[in-house]
Amino acid sequence: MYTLIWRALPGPLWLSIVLAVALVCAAWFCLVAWLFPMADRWLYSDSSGTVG
Amino acid sequence: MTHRKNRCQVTPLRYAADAFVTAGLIVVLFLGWETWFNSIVLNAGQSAAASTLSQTWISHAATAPAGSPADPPVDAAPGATEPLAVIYVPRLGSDWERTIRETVDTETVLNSYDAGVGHYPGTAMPGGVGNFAIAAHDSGYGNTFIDVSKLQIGDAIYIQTPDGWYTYRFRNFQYVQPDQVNVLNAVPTVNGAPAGARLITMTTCNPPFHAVERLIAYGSFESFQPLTAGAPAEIAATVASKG
Repeated sequence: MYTLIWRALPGPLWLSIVLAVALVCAAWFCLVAWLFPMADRWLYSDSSGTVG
Repeated sequence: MTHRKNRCQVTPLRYAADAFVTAGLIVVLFLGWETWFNSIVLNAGQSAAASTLSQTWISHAATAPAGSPADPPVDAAPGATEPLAVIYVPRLGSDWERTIRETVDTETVLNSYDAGVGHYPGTAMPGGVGNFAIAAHDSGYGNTFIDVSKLQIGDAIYIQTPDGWYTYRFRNFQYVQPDQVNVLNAVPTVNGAPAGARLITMTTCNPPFHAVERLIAYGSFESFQPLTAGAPAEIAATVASKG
């Protein structure tokens, strides 16, 4: 895994680090954006709200 | 070559970066599964399960139940998570169909491989006087009601039960907060009013991929025909092709 990913990253080391951090930040941003609606769905049962 | 040499000299940084990339890829794959691939799998499973249930009821239909087109038979509510109907909405797709189960439990009904649509307990059953209220996800877990917002006034909503086919006609939308449960009342949004009409209410999240509000689609009952009379003309070919 390490070799494949690392060799695929372009440019110097600092750029690779920046790309890696940017990727993980974007991924976690998407995860949180997905989690909030999911949490909203879990919050409302059929007695306290409608579902969908 | 210089870059390669630098990389070999900074092993801890390389492993840290690799860990970041790996974590990011795992998250991306998880989200891809949850929002895309999982829905494809569940869409196929929910559709196939509904088709099987529909055909089973048709094959067991022997005699027409009591009732008339304007005063249809009304079944008792089944136990939790038990199937009570199959819904067809041509506007959502020519072969779109789903099983409706009792309760709107997320894990066992809305997210399930063989249902997708849930019936709010305590609301009317198909054909009953009052509000037949059902729910499904707009996005994720089969994208069941993702196209509900495309309904047009007069669109047919067919509900099949072991008794027959109940035809409802879409009437209007309403956008509400998730905790506005009075849309499920016998007379939607009116508290304490006695049931007077046969209505259907479909609830789903809005906008797609978010759940900050609910999209409510209302319809009213039009007619009933027993299973022995065959499927309504608009979906007869679709139903026959599944047999």
